[in-house]
Amino acid sequence: MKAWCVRRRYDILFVVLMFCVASHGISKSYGFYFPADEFGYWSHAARLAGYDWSDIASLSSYYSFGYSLVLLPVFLLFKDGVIAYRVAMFVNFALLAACFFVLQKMGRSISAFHAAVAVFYPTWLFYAGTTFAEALLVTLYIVICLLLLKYIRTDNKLYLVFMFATMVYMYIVHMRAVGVLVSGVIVLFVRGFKNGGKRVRYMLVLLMGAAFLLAAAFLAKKFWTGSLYTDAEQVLKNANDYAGQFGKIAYIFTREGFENLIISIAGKILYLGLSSFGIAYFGIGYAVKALRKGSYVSLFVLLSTLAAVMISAIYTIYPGRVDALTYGRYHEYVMPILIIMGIRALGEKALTVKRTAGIISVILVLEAVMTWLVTVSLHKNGQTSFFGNTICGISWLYDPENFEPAGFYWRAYAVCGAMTVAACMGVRWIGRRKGREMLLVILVAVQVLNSIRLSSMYIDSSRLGCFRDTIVMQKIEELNPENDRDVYYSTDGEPFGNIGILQFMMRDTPIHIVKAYYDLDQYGGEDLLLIDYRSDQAQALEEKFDSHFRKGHFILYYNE
Amino acid sequence: MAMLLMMGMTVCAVDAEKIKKNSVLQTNSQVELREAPDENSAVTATLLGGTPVIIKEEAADGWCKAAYQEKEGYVQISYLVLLGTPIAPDAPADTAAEPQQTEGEAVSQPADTAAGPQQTDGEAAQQPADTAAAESQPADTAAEPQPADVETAPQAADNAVRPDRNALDDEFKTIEEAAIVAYQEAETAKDQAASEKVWGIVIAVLVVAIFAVGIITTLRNNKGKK
Repeated sequence: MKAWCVRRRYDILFVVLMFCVASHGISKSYGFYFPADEFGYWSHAARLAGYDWSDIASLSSYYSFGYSLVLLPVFLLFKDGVIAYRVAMFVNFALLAACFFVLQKMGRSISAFHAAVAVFYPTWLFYAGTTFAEALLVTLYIVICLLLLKYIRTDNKLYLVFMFATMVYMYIVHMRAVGVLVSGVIVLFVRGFKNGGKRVRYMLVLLMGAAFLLAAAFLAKKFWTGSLYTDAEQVLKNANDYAGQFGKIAYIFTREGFENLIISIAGKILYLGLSSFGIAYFGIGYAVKALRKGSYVSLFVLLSTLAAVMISAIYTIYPGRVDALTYGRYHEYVMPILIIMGIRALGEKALTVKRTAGIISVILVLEAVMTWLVTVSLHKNGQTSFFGNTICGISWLYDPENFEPAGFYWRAYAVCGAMTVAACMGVRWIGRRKGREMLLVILVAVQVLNSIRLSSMYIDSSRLGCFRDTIVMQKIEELNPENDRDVYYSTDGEPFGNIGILQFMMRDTPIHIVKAYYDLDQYGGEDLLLIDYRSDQAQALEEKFDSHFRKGHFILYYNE
Repeated sequence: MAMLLMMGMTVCAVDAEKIKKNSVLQTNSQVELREAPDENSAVTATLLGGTPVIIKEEAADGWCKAAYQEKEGYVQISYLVLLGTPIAPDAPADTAAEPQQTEGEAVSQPADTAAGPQQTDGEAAQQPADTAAAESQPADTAAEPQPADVETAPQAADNAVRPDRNALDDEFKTIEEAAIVAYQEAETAKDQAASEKVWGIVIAVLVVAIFAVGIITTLRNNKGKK
């Protein structure tokens, strides 16, 4: 036991560190940070557990159900909403801890320090603190890479079957992962044909199996849209679906659309570099070099990175927000593999100091050009709204007091550029000798600090709102101890997603929706009526009901 | 103070600068709430001396907007004193003393701190503006029997809006509830901050420990090689 502990000392320490990062913010978690998205994932789990939350689910867009399969056991085991949420957070961190080990399985040269730099990437730590699918997506991507590697090394078809199943599952976790599925199929077929077509027949059988799974996924999706999103408006349902993207494809073929696409792609590539302090670019270089030597894993990584960047670029092609230009959320699940490859590239003996400095200079020039392109779009379209949580790799630099969109990107370029020089030269120096590896913990520490800053900037303020919502929930439970009073929520013409927080906390009490304010006259007596705290109906309802209770995101009206 | 009361003088009014929005004061004698800050404007309610009022707007030109239950209107600040100040039962309205500095501050209602706006729709929850938990009173609360100490008030006072004890009890209960919630919130925040601090320290220690273990391992390996 002692020998095992000594041998796995870094593994143990990093897993404990992951546990501590998870615990750091857990006492403040009372509910959703992204009400619409997170409720979307939980509502599938609730549906599987026999609850009907369709009224609330219909207020938001369609969300895939893959992550809900992970949430389901948590939902069933923990009746208290706050506890269930916190346990789900821990599950996310456990997935990241699993990534740490899976990455080390990919090669003997990948040490615990390398894996830690990849896994403690601030975005994963940030999203693991919510019930978002990001932690699961990144885990699945790493597992797919490992399965592909194992299959290529051993030619064991079982790995191939698991790989296909994992790719299909990743697709049903989030449709943005379609690029991974396509890349995987392309790589396996290329390999099959290169080996004289011996494996092509087997591939076709597997492909049919994957097609069958996909058909089942489509049917399941139809079931969900039919049972959960019954009253959702079509435009809303399409927002996260393919139907909502067709217009964007058509837009690419206009001059303005094409220009925007170029800028959008540049922004996404820029994000990869800035958020990884340039290491991801070295990773791409490493993959290209390995591809020349016939590495199928590298081909898969390059194809899936390209697909992820393109999907992200098309999804955010309309100039809308400042962060949408670099929108990292949709393509950064490839980051851990790129970081691992980047660290390996920087450790290669062929990379002299001069050469490294030359590459870094090229990176800095390219990043400057891409930053300039992004700022051109900002000046042209005048975007001002900024959602920092979609670009966690750089939004820790966000300063709400002195925010200026173009200035933000130049600042990110300057700070991350300086970090690129330090990190790449540092990693190169560390990679020269094995005894220096522990210095990589400095990079891990910087990432953990950034993630804590991100959480305090974006999540903490919403947590206070959720805490106050728990008080509204307590009030409803106090007024409705037998659960025999109907609870209604008036959207007041605008579907605010916050009501999902309450429905999640009061799973046994279905909240019904009143869509039109003139319908409110029908409610009174024993009914408990909730409205959003911003609603214009407050004055009128105060006269209609005996009492009201104002807290958190809601005003609750009731008769004693 | 007892002497002043015995002499039938109006209790000293509160300093204009101390009249803050949402603070609770009381009238020092019978007084009218008016639609506008003008002695000739219409009367919205007549309040007896000792009636608690909530200040809705800060004082300006000797007037401020106040509310008693569902009634709102402007009142001259010379008629307002700190809550709990003993009031002469039949103090004439027009003998108000000059405002002077009094001890203590007016009791202010508990208020939560407002939070800045946040993102919505796939981004982040909207932070609620602060919403002090205050339940409204029924609009048509029946007047309670007049308290013994105002039974000798002039006839006009009989028609005035009298303090409704039940309604007041409810009001103060609500304020107390809000204060408890605010206290709980503050306590929770305090605990969370402490917990965060502890975990922050543990994280820092762990990072240092990993670093130290790395150095010790390297030194041992080097020693072994030698």
